Amino acid sequence: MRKIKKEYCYSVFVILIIISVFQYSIFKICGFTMYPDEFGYWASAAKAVGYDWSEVAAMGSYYSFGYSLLLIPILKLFTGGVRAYRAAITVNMILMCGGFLLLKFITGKLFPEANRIKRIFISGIAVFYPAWIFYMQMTLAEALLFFLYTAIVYLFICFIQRPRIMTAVLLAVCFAYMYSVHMRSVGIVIAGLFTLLFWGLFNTKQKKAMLAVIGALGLAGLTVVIMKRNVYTSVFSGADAEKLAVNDYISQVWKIKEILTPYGFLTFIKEIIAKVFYLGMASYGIVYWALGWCIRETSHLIKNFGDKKESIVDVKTWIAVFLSLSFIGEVLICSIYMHGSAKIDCLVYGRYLEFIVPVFMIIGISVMLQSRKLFLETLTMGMISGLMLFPIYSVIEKEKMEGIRGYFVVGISYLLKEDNFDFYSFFRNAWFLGFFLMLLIAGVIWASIKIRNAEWLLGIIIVIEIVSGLLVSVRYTYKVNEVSFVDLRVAEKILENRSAETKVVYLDEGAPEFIDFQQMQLPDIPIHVIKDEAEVQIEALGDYLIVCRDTKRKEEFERIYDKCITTNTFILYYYSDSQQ
Amino acid sequence: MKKVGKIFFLSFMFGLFLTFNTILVKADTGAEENAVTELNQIMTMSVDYDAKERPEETAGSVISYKAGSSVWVIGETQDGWYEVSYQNLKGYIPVDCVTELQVEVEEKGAVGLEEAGLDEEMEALEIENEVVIEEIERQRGEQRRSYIWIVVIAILVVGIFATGMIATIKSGKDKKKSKDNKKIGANDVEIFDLDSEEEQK
Repeated sequence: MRKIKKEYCYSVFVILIIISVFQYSIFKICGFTMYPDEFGYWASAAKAVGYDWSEVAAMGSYYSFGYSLLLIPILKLFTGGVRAYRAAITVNMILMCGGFLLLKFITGKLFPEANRIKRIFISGIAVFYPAWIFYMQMTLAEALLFFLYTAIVYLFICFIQRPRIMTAVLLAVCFAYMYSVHMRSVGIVIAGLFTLLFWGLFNTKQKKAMLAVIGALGLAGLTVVIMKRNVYTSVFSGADAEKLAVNDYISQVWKIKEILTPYGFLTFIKEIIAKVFYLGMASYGIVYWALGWCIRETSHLIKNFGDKKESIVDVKTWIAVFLSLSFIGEVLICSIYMHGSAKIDCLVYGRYLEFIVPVFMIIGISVMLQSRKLFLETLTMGMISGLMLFPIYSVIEKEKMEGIRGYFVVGISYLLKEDNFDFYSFFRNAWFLGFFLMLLIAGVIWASIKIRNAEWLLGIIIVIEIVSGLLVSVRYTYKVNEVSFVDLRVAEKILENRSAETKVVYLDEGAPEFIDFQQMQLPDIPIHVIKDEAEVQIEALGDYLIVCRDTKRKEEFERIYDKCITTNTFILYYYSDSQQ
Repeated sequence: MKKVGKIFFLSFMFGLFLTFNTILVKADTGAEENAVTELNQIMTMSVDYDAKERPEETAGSVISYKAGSSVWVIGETQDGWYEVSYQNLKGYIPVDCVTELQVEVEEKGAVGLEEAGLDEEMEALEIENEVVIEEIERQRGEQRRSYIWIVVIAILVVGIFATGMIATIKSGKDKKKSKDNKKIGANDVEIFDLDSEEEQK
């Protein structure tokens, strides 16, 4: 009785910590951190609600509509831009809590030998993965992907343990929805299909369940394709075709052609190694342990493939196959998409891979808890990850890559000095820190095994993760939002004296799409975008003109308009009689 | 007894949490009241002076003011320094370096363009200063809130470790007790065997 109560105690603590992290951050945030990605998701939702953000949306590329489905009710219920954004962050926090519970169930199903308290701590370590804390605080699809991937793994386990039509349909819908949330998760969908195919070969009696999965996946897939076409035509119709194609599959063909050349293939292998390096360092080496387990379990399937007996291959093996294939799929997709980019962060690019890490972490930690050569294997992994630095340096030098955006590689950005960046010392320091943390985590796990009933020592890993997650949030999320708080004045001024005929115009002089923030604050006032031409027609200018702060046309606009407000990013010009 | 103990422990933790909050909030406002009195005034510099990063003459300079320039005063310390703000920078200047800002009319009865322009500039400055005040107040409120939630997170983490340590200590004691019980039980069995042997005889 006492043990069950302790389990609830620890679960409540973990959920309360998630809520507290959310409460810590929520009033530091008022809008977008990543431009223009976040706006792309809101633009589709705005169209569904009846707002016209098409001109501002046309400045960016196409973004999947899956996450927008969650944002539609939020935009409907909350009129203010800041409130709607914070409501979306609240949804992310709830998904994080749900993810923790799902991770707990997955741990229980895959590793029933672990006691309930250990499962709580293992799941807690996985859910407090620093990148999850970071992405929870913004409206990027990653926040939803973390939850969806965890749900898919859980449903997969339920399906394999007990193949029912309802589970099959839910699994298929989750796969299709995940694809609609982010096109680059197609690797997960393909991995799922292949795993189910192999499973079907082993379980020939489960034809009904197989047909249910295939049928549901086909139907859901068709729905996604039709909805995608609708979003293209209704939301992004005004966009430049080239810009629109940036995120789509068509623009990746030239990369695949290049990869198939000898030099391109070698570079591609090095890019894959760079991503594996990132995943290891970001997860304190835990992903490497999980990969080892996946390879061992998958080899069990390969050995018994000829026999095809249901009894030989258990649920752990099938999950290992699915995880291995999804890891390979996502690393390949990410490497193809980022191939040929000039930025160094595109080489390691954590952002498209982060969402698979929590599930790998629960497996990695469970394996570490059972390992008899914990320190030896940790040392070996650390050394191997150090050797990965050489292909990384080689690619950067040969491709002449420059510059790094730390928010795309949050897992290794702790020691990043953006103003004085040197890639040699950056990756070397990232490896030193990652290696140190790998040994520290191994030490904590060793102590929790050696001391009786000391699972609570695993809480040290949770503390390290929370500190790491908040550090990157301070560095990127809160810093950007500090600027945005002052920029709110532009929208507030417009809203003070708005009327049905209020016309707001933005002059696009080629700056980044920070105007997305203002459109979010003015949901029912479409911002008209005009290009920077030699002579801007006065008729094209509205009651309010927004320009970037470093505009070269200040004198011209000061002659036309009576008043102006300068914020951190924008200047708002308006007429004094607009205030009447 | 055990239930009472648990209730007491939970109440103690909850009380500790409330006390922390109260102390922190009180300490926060108390510290502010003792150190700096909040002001929101525009004054004019009477001399050239570089505002210091602390209310001490030997501290480093952060903002440079010329005689006659406007200065935004946001607070006053008890030892004769004003706290000033300029473009997200904060500094301290001695009280005798500034005068109250006054609008002076040079000619009696004159209503000139200059005055109208000055009024407009003053209005814009007032609006600007209102915005600065709002931003400062928002930042202060946000800092206070963040501090409270960091403490809450720390308490929850300590709670996890405390629950674990108490459980470990208790299970150690329970193990000792059960070992002792086993030893006593073994002796009972021996006596029983002797008795049964006597019975058999």
